[in-house]
Amino acid sequence: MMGKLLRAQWMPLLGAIAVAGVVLSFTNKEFGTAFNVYTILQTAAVDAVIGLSQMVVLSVGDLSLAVGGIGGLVTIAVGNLFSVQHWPIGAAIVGALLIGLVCGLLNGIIIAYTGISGFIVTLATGTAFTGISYGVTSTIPYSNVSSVLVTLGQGRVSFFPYALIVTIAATVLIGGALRFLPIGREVLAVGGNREAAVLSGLSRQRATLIAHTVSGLLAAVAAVMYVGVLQSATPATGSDWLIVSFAVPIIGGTALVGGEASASGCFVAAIVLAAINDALIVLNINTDAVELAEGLLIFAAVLAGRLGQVVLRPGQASGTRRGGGATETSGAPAATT
Amino acid sequence: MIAQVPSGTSVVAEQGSFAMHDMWKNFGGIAALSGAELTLQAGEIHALIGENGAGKSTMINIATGVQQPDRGTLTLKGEQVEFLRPKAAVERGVSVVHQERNLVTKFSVAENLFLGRLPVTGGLVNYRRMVAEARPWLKQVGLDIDPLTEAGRLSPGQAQLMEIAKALAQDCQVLLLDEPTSSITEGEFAHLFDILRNLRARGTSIVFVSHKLEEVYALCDRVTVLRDGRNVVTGQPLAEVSQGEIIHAMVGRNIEVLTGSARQSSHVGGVRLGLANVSTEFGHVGLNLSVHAGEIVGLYGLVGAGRTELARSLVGLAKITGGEVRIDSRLVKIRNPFDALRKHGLGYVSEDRKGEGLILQHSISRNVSITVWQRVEGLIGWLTEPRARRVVREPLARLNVKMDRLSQPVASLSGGNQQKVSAAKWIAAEAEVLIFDEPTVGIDVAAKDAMHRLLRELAEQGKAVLLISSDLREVIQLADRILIMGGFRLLGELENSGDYDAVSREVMRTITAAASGAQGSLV
Repeated sequence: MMGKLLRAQWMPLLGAIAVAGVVLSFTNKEFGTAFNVYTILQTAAVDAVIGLSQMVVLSVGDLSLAVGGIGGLVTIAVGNLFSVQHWPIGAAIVGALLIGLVCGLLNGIIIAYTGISGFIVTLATGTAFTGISYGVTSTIPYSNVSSVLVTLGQGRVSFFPYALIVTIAATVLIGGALRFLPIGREVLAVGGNREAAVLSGLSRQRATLIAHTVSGLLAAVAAVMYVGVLQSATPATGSDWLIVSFAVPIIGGTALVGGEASASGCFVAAIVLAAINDALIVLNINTDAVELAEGLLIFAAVLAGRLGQVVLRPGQASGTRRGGGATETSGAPAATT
Repeated sequence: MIAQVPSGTSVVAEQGSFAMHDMWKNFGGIAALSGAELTLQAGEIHALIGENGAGKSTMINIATGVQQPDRGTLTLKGEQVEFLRPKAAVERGVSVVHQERNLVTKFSVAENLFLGRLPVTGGLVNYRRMVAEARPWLKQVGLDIDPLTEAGRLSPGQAQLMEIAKALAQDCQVLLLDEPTSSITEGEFAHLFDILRNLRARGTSIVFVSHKLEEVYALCDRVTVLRDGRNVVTGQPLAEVSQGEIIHAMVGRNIEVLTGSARQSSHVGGVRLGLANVSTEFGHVGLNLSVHAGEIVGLYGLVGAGRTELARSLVGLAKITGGEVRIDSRLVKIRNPFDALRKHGLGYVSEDRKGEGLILQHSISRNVSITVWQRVEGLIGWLTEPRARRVVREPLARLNVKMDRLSQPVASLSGGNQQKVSAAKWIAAEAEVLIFDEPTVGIDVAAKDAMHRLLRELAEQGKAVLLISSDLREVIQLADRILIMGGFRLLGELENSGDYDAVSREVMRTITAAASGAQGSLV
């Protein structure tokens, strides 16, 4: 178990960032303070869940451009249910989470049963969700946010934000589900080799549906956390989630083509991204450089993964597979399963 | 020629254990099956053969619930059944091992074995039980590997055995094998045959789809031949039919069965491709070989010997790390396949035609003209279909590609015709040195014959041909000289006497003598 942890793809990344963090905390008196570490972890807490939301869909070999759209819709749902409909905060949160779940379910149903690609479907629905958010609020944020949510988003014990508890729970649950639940294995099997999975009696539709539904729920969880962090429910929430949602799982070692996922990788990657972001600000480097740094990091992560493949498995990486024989397709259009 | 009657056949003369009766299936107006029949008895190995497009795959797909027939009945042990999904077939004990590996490469062998029905305790996957339960099944097919091995690391032969183990674990009574030997080594298939014979002895009905008639005769009890979706031969004992009759039944005409005699090149010229002490990043070392104008040199070896890797290095897909490569006595350094073809006239016909040789959804003419764009370019570099067609027509005609029109997508052709298109591309490019990598794997007798003729014709024209093939018979039929590769080294070279027995003995002796490291063997 320990050995496996050490061989994880994100381990070198974590090592590098830990060293850089220690060095920074000695050279810069602000970086190592409990408050600054709290700030980093607070950002990472939300980003990690956003990343998990995308990771689940990547696992099944699909992708979602609607993570941000769902986040925005859930945000204003929390705000509206609490401050306009005057629901108790618990009910408002549950209601908002359900909305996220239903949005994901909707994506899943359309993708699984029409065969239209997830890219197109979620591009459309994600945009529509954002449109609804702006329409409902006339672009005005709800600033009256429950103290419960503020505690969730802002509360801390020394450097440890309460929000991180939610993130850890989500990471353990999603990681565990993908590893130990039959449906989790089904999602990864379909993502890894759809044909083989279907011939083994697994269901592509079911796996796609579940992945998108869980993704919707996770996007909703991230949105609820974010309302607390921001202390305001604004329809603009989610507009900048797209890149984060891909960067976090990819840096964390999730395969873009499906079949392989790492929830713990998402967690580490989110912390790394937040720490870099924070360091650039603390060091007074132009904040515009943050995105450049993120871009380079994604590139480095992909490159590291690729290099690992080449070094560890030369045969596979250079495509020396054999066989690939012929199937009978003559005349008859290959019937899909 | 070699009509070995299988010994110890245990054909039980009872009602069929599995029968497909009067099968009809249309795809968009094109008939794939028109009343085809297949009846299996318990404890027999039944060969199902036919040219590409004859309907074999459709039969398999229907038997395993992947497709539904338009009409027809399936009977399992006398009871009529209907398989609406693959799972339904598996649950009734009908399993298929596909020619293309159907496994989740990132999952362990054990998990692939139980995919779709993982052992679960309290709602969670029980990995310990999964591994424990996988062991006996792997053992039964002679696979001595850790069940937790990542499936993607298995050799094609091992993957095939794993799929058989999977079928056994599903308590399969009827096992369908779709070209199981197309990508495995000789040692592996001897082992595979032993396992199939064991299963037969235990009463399993096995359908064996293959283009290799030698294997069919060595293994099978009865044969069903399909042509154009109909039966031409139905469940006839193989002892009663000759190879010639089967070929005749498959293609509906007589094909000159190539004899075992070696070709004699009339005019072998100077060296066109020469390697001196070449090493590559794959680990080839000290390779010396030459291919002369007008010569076909066979490069034989077991799977994993490093032949494809050498070809890929020569065309610049991988690095050559030492030694000299000369084409027409010029020292060359080839960086990529584009260079190889444009500057040096070296073409590589990949073994993986679907993955590397063709763009399946593009038209035939586009696929063939891809190598010759500069010749079909019109004004300001525009590519136009009519120009392309002029260039591609001739090579396609030479290979006798069966097609309706040039604008037809390659995906709609049969496997054999796809392979011809893949080859035509390089003919059109007027490559002078050609490397053919397993040019006849998985294609039918007629297409194979056309490929063989093509190779000979190219040599006659003074081109140099390096033929990589795992089919020793093919190598002996075509090659002037035979090089043997093993463990990324050249183990030896022999003149082709044309005597199959003598040459194969010599080849095997060379390989086994060198194989102290057991390169390419199964376990």
